[in-house]
Amino acid sequence: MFEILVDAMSVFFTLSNVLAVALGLIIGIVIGAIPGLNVPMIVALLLPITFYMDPITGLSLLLGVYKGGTYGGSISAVLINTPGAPAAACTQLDGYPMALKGQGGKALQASIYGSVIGELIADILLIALATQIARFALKFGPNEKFSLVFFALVTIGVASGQNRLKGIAAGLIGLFIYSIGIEPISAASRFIFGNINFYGGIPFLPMLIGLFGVSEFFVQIEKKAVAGSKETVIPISKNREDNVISMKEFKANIWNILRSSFIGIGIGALPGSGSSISAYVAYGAARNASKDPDSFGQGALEGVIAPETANNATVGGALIPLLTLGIPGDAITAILLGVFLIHGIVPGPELFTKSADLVYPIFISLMVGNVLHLVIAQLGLKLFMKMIQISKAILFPIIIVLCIFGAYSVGTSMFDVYVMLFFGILGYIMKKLDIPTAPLLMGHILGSLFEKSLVQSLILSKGSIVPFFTRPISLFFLLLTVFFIFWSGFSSYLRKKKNARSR
Amino acid sequence: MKKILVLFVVLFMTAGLFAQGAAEAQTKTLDYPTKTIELIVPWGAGGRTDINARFFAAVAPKYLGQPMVVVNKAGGGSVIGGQYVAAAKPDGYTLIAMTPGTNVFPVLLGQAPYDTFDFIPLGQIGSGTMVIASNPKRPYQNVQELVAYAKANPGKVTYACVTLSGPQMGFLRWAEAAGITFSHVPVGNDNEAVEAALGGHVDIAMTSSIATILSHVNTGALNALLTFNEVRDPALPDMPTAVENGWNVIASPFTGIAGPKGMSDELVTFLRDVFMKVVEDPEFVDMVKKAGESYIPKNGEDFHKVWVNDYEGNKGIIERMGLLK
Amino acid sequence: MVLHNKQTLIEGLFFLLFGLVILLLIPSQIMVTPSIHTTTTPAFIPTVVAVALMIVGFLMVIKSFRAKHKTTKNIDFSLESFLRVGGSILLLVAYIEMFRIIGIVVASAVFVAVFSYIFGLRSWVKMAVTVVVVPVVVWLVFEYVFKIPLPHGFLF
Repeated sequence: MFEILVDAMSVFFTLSNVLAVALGLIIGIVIGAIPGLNVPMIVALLLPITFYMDPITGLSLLLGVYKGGTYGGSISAVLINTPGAPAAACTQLDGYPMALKGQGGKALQASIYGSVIGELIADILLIALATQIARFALKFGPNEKFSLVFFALVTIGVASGQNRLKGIAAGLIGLFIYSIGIEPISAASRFIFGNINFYGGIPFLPMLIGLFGVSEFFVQIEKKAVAGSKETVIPISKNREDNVISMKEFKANIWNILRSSFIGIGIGALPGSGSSISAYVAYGAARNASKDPDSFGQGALEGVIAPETANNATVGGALIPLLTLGIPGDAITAILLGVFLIHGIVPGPELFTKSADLVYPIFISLMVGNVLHLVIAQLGLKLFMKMIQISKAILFPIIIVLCIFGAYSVGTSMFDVYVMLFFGILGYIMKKLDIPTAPLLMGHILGSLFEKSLVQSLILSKGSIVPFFTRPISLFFLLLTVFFIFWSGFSSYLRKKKNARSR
Repeated sequence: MKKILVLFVVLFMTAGLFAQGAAEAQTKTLDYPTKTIELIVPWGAGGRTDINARFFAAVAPKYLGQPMVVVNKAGGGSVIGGQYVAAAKPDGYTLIAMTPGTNVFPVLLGQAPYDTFDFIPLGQIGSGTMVIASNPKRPYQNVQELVAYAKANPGKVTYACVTLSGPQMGFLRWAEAAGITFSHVPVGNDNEAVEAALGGHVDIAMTSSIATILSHVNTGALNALLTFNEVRDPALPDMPTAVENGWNVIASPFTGIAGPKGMSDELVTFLRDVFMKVVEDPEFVDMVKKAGESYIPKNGEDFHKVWVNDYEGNKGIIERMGLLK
Repeated sequence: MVLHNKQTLIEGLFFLLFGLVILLLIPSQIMVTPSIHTTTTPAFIPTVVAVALMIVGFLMVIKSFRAKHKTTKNIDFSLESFLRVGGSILLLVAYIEMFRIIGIVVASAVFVAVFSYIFGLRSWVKMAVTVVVVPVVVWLVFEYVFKIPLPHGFLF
């Protein structure tokens, strides 16, 4: 194993390969940070270009984009309360409140460390144990997937904290929004209202941009503006402790980082889930494990580290079924599968025997990518902190233009732009009423896996729900769900009691 | 100030009129193309159709002299992109990369606001090979054993397949010809079908592309049972087709390029000519083959025949299954 | 029975009503493909959602009559903020509608100016720079780098 890696290093380390990784990361971070530009789009666009490159160079570039793009979303999530990528929708819950307290620099640094460590652990597991993990992931049939999604949905309710009922209601409305369109199982149409635009369902990215980007625009425009004001979006603190993570804070989060990494890898290794789900589950788990769960949503450092670690660990996790089984788990890995094939690498069980000469250098490229990610993201951090210092009056018009261009470009359709506007207004109203918006998005994301796995399970069991409780992995997740509900209720009861006593 | 503005507006509008008049005059002698051509992909970025379309758009400018951009208009099982092109101006600047999923099923099921023949086929790029694969732990190792087992246990064998897709229609036609009933487990895409069969959650998987199962067949994790093309797939030369086994079912998930109905004959001839030049370009052939697509180029007329054949074959099974609205 | 939290009551009633509307829409809005037999129908998930939403709404209504729980933070609502947000929604609709007429780039230039004025920008030099630079850069990035065709009107 070790010798192979040394050989692979000598193959990988050329100037063009290292530059390709760096360039990919930079492109990814920028695309990820801009609301409305998404990673699958840019990878598809780069695909024909990489055809003319050496396979290792081309793949290094695109894997760099994948990593950078997953991280980049957190930058805009923290600084302007607008996640640039779906995976960062959870990061803003605590990232933006931190930024409002002047701790934007610290939040971003937490995101960098979390992302890089999550990625590193995932890459090591990918290299060492990919086949074993993939074999285990195959045990997840419809029953197991359903129980997992059910668990994730409950996590959302738990993570809504004080507004549990409102959070659940928002999640349910998200599920309803998912159900609009042609249903994928029997091709029945649902809630179309005779409008062809609804056939495809409510497009996800315009919804994301509206719910977070446009609603924030309304929140900002609502405040009476002072003529000639140079006010910035978030205060920038000059204090060192607001801009860097101390060793103490890092140590306090080691378990959080490890837990989130494994959640990220595990969910990533299951085809069909993805980084937004893992981010949310890791957030819920961190909240449940925290000594002070009520600080979540108010700018808790753990609340930034958990989702950011998990979503980047998911990148490595998603490569596991892709490389060992040839099964892509999401839109980006589906394109990457095409990229591998074009370069003569056939992902699947024969990968390590047939294309070992290419696979190991790519593993090296992933590891080098982690180091470069740390360096580039740190440099980028300084740049982004500078950029955020321009006045609101210039920044928000720019954001709304980007949102509109972004929503339009998803499907080059005006309908998508209006979907964005609709969710912008809805998101604004929800923010005013203190109804959490993230569960709405999660309902939409989880809806398809929820329904599909449920229907498949019931077909396979001829309508019986017994297998949900007799299959061990499925039962495990259901028990975990029960535990989660009781634990969150129990711990909040304990805190209330404690508070009452101290008063 | 106001006068100047009005003047500008008038100037712009006349310029626009002239430009339009000029374009009309040009079409007569077919001075096409003069601007960027949009190739609509009615699916999201990264799928089989999308990758083929991007290869096509990368090579086509060589023969067109104008850029070609791929525009993804996903959603509604490709009905949204299909409707966009069906309603587009037939000037050759809006083309579509299509599969049976766009022009056959939505139409047959009454879900599309357009008709199959609202498009003019320009040519076929390639076609996947539909294939049935089974989990080797099941008590059947080849298609004869499967048929015998399934006949003895009607409805017990489960197959994973995308709902109302090309593969499912092919599968249903075959099941009808063989006289067997199976239980359908709907999945979102071919990869999910393969995943379910690998994990043993379903008995067999029906996918639209041999590339999705090939390495699992080579390592013994799956058994390939039957293919549905006219000829055997070069990747599995020992695997007999349905026709060779005596079931008269040919189904292939073609990928091709088409334009909206109403394009002038000169334009169609020109585009079909360009199409053949592109698909025979060595650079293009290389890309498509490497991407794992069965490269089966067909000119416009032949593609039209494949298309009609597919339409008729599937119409039959949909009617007999009572799916037609 | 004393009403303690009006906001929770209204929200609860809204969710109740929303669930009810979904339930009522299901028969007319879900077309079931005949003869595709699955154990659940396509109406299953929407029905579950509707019923669950009504339960949540009902719980919130009950909650609003119970004294114990903390009142959520008050909504700061003023006519002026309503006008600002309502006005900006109308401006955004105008912006979007102007794509087809004057093109997305010119429309963006116009509305960058309008919105930056609303946000309080009074430095004409800065505004001029933003108005020119932002739409042009965004346009170049989307149309030339990402090759996404954008709507152009008669101006550009």
